[in-house]
Amino acid sequence: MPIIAPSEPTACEPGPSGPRYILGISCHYHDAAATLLKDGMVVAAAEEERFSRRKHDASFPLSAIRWCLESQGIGIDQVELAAFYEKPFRKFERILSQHLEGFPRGFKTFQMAMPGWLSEKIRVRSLLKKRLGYRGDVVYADHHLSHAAGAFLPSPFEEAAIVTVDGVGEWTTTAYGRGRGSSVELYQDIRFPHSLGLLYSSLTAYLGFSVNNSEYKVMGLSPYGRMDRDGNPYYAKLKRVIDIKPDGSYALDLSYFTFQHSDRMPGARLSQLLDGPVREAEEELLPRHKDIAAALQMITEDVVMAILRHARRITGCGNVALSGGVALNSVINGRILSQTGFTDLWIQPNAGDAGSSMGAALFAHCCVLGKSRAYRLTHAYLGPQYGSEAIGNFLAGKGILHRRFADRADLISQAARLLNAGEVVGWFQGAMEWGPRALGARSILAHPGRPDMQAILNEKVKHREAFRPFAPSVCAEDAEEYFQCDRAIPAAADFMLMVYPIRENWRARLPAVTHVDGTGRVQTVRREANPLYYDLIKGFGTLSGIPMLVNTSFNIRGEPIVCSPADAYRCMMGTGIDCLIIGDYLVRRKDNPRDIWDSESAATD
Amino acid sequence: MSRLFSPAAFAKAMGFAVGWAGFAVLLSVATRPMRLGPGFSNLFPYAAAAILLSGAGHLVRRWLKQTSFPKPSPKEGFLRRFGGAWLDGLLLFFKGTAAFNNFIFLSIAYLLGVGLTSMFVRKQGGKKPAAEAARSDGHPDGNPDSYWRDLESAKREADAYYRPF
Repeated sequence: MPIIAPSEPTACEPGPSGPRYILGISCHYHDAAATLLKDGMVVAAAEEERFSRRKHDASFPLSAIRWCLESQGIGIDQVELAAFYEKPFRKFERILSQHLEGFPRGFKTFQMAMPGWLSEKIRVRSLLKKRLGYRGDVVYADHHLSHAAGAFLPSPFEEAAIVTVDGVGEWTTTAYGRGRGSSVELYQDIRFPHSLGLLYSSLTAYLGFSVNNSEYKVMGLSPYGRMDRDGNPYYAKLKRVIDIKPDGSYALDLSYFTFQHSDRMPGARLSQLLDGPVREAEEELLPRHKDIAAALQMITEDVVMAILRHARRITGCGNVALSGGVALNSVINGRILSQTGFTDLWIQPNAGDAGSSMGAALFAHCCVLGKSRAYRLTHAYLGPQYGSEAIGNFLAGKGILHRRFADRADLISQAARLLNAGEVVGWFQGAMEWGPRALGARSILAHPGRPDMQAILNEKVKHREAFRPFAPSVCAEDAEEYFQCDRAIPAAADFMLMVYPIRENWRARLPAVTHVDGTGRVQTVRREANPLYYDLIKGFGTLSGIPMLVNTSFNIRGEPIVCSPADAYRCMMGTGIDCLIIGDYLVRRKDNPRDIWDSESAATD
Repeated sequence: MSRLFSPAAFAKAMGFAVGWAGFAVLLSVATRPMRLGPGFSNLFPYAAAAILLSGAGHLVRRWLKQTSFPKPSPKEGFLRRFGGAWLDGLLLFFKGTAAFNNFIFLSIAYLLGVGLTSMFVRKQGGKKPAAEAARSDGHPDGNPDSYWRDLESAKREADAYYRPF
């Protein structure tokens, strides 16, 4: 029986001993995460970094798994099936193959990689038994199938083309296929070492930013360079590095790279091609660096658009679901519908490897067990949440001075008033977001119309590079007034994954969220997804005349987004956030001077 | 004066010293059948060897960028904090020796396993390692206008997903 497309998916019903639970896990490379399905529905999902407080934590997601189980009040013995997001032996085969090819240049990377491989990475089943006491079956989905399943199965589409682009999984780096009903199929792929994700990461390293962490900074830097294919000399130079076919397939000229056998990604030949050595992390950004970022962004866009047009032609689908790290490139996402012929687009909020834990779990449910697809992801609030009592106990237990709002209306009106007065507000409400973006549950909020707000947030709160823009949150029905969006705004905009031009008449009035090229990475907010945040934006609009807020993640540079009330309070007291609205409570920084600390020295990448 | 003395640092140093002493004794016992060194009469050469191994291991760890993430300190009282710091010191010593051992064994595995296989494959000139093959034939399906390669994901049986390969 072909398992990818079960002919007759069976309806998912609770088993004889109660609900059926499937645990999805991704870990060992970057962004470990866990997802729990209950009768095919996602009931809990979280990244390990939020609990361990180590950004991009790749270790086995023990805390995330424990939280997932606790959130449902179950033990590991009630999990029917565990789904791992890739096939470890096939990945190990690729690693060994790289070493055979690169001998003796890979001596150092061999020393770095092997202890981890031999002790944990290759032995997933025994790891699950040892760390969790899990003794059931384990399903291993291929890396890109997990991405594909994570892109399509929670999407609103009954049928869609699927495109996955990331660094590398087992062998595959880029793939496309089709999802229909409960089935997911990948048609064709491009394999390691040819990888668009690794090209982007190599150039990220060349520009002095950290790999698997700061690719989005390169995207943010690109509009400062010449976004002109004829006028930017580095565009033509980078075209020598990658051969792009009209069908979107591509091959890298590997003589420019060392990632096959070294822990450094760009090769000496690449430095020669780009007129200078690798930039050091704190070195000044020169116009040359900005042009390189712009050229890279244009080349990435060329490839992704060509792949999407090809996938549209082959699958004949009008909808597309995207996944993989490259799907977090929101500048490209904002242009897809206008340039590829697709009519609708969906990207899950956690499109990178962490999101593959959800993909693997849904793949196991639909494609391996053959159950029908019941889940649609309509919001990203799948993480831990804290009730009013727990927050109140925390504040009282720590002796933190606070005030309780009279009711919900009081909370919204006070929060809107503080924001309108120019205060920077930490906003901690409801369940934590799934994915790298803060979407109004663990956010830092501010007034988008104040000219000094971008500098205040970058310097005093986030301690980050001055060139980096901030994102706006706007109610979905208001978005078209401020942004030149696609006709029907894709649901991916709910997850802050689309960049659109801000309408010219609004740019001067929205200086805190208008990037240098006049665009903004918009988050559309729907009342059914987050009523409190929606009402706050509306309330703020009534006071200020602009129903929009600056929304940036609630963290210090180099740290994960806050998870618990303690994380939120610590973050506020270490930064220039003026007050924290946490559940029903207001905590002001100036009221608690004994806990103030300076987070700037702790801000790292 | 109290600033100069940190109980946690003292406990960590004690833990490290216990690890060092224990490993020195272990070395002297382990090398006894080989008649290496002066034996139990003089433990100093073994202690020197132990600290050299651990130090070399820490240099290897630094070269390989193997960092240990700091654990949050337990707040359950002086004794627990003291015990935790003592254990950290002990582990600090043994992380060095473990890293050195790994380095030696992995170097042998790399030179004999990977190196000989790689040279054999190159000399045979036959089937290339897969990464090289993926690169050199460029157009995997013989189509000069495309680098796409066909996947056969739809042909897999359910059992294939219960295997880690």
